[in-house]
Amino acid sequence: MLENIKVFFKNLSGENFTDLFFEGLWNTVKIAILGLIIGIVIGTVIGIIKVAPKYKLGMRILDKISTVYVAIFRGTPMVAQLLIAYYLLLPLLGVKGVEAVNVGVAVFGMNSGAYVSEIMRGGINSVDPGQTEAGRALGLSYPTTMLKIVVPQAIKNIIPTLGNEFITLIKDTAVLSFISIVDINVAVKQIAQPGYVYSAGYLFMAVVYIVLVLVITGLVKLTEHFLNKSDRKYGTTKSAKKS
Amino acid sequence: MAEEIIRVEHLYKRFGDNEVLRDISTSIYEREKVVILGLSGSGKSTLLRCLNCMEDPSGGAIYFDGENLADFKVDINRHRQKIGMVFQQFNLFNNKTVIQNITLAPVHIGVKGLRRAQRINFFRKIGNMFRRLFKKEEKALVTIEKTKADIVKEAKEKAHELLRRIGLEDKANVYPSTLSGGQKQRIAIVRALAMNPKVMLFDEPTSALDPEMVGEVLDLIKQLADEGMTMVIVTHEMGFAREVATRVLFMADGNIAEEGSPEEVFDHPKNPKTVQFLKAVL
Ligand SMILES: Nc1ncnc2c1ncn2[C@@H]1O[C@H](COP(=O)(O)OP(=O)(O)O)[C@@H](O)[C@H]1O
Ligand SMILES: [Mg+2]
Repeated sequence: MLENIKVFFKNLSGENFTDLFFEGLWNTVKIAILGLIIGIVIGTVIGIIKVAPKYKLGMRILDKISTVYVAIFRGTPMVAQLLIAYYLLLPLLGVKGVEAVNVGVAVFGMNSGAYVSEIMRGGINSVDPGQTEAGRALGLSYPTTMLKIVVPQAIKNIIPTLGNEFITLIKDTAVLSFISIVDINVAVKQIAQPGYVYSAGYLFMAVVYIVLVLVITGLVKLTEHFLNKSDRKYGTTKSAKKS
Repeated sequence: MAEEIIRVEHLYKRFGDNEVLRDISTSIYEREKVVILGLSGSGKSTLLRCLNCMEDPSGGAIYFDGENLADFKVDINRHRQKIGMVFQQFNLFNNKTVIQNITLAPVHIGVKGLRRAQRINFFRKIGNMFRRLFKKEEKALVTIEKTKADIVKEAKEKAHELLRRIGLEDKANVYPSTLSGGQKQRIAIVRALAMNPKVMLFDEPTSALDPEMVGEVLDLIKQLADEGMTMVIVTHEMGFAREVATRVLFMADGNIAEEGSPEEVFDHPKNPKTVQFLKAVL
């Protein structure tokens, strides 16, 4: 095994393979990050539609569309979504020259949007309804109240869950190889081929994923800390020292 | 007779099968201080919340500024800007500092108005190009008096002035979680005042406060009352009610069981239910 690992790292240190590894790492991280950002935007919009009052016909229609959207993206495997988007939808629509990576970003974003919408709905429901009431009573519209007051508080509450969603996305990038995108998986497999040191390659890949996940977890902690400034008592450092 | 600020006509409110308000009609006149009394669950909050349509009436009409707020076609947000509301639980925005709490709505609404004027002018300018071409009279542009910076500056100045008034200017940049209940409620009151409302609605503004903080909040409300603010107040503070009210409404069975001056209602109640209620609370 030790021998295998040595061979793998020797392969990896070759200039072409080093580049290949970083290309894979970059694609994985890029698609996961952009996917999450798109997912948060889509998820926020759907989350707001889901919790909004449904007096108006327009709202009821949007609600139905959202329900169908979420059902489609949660009810089918990501691989199927990728394959359909890349090999069926793009040719059908006559779109040419779209990079596979961009298709990956779009599919990851839309898929993530469906999951984030559920997370966001929970987050919004966890915010005290008094916050919405105060906004509306001041004459702010429903969307304004949501975007300026409720959603920021909801996001703060769901940061840990969003972190989990990000980790899921990172791991899901393994399916990107189906539309011939070089992600960590593909890169590592190619690097491990000379000398057939696949076991070492997979071990290395696991370590890379774990490091990524640890980095994300750290970032989530940091974000939480930063967003919690509104919970921190000003001037408590002094009194805390006293007691 | 003073100007009528709010007119309630045959107001009904049902929650499912539960008919909470039954055919209520009354008016709130300028400079009046109307105190609403009644047992818990008698519909005081519901009535108050129907006045700015935080609860949509099931029937009847609420007239404010010449429009029926119960009508879904009315721009309710525009009217709510002029009806201040203060809640039992303060409801300061947790994610905003004190000063942001006070300036958020005035700035947002000011900027929205500005954007609208700019939009109108943009299309008028395009239209005027064609009017010139066809030798028609050009349409005048909307005058824009304030830039966004002016709106923000004015709102901040006003907020500081209000905070100074309640002695909390040093709290301008802290978050609500660091404040006492009494401070929160006084800030909630000036947040409503920053919109220059025509009338203020108070729903048990001191019920969630520790006893030692009730006084500071009631004092502020009394000040506003003395300055002539029109108010509708739901409260269980009987001493305060008697002192401030120009009219007292006693609610029972989904309607106004008795109303009159504080002397009439407190000292010479006619309705047996009012008698019973006063006996229990005084
Ligand atoms: N949002 C609501 N949904 C259902 N029932 C409600 C709602 N708000 C109030 N009620 C009912 O209406 C009645 C009057 O409530 P409320 O106006 O809060 O009384 P009060 O403020 O006088 O204590 C109560 O029976 C209460 O259960
Ligand atoms: Mg109540």
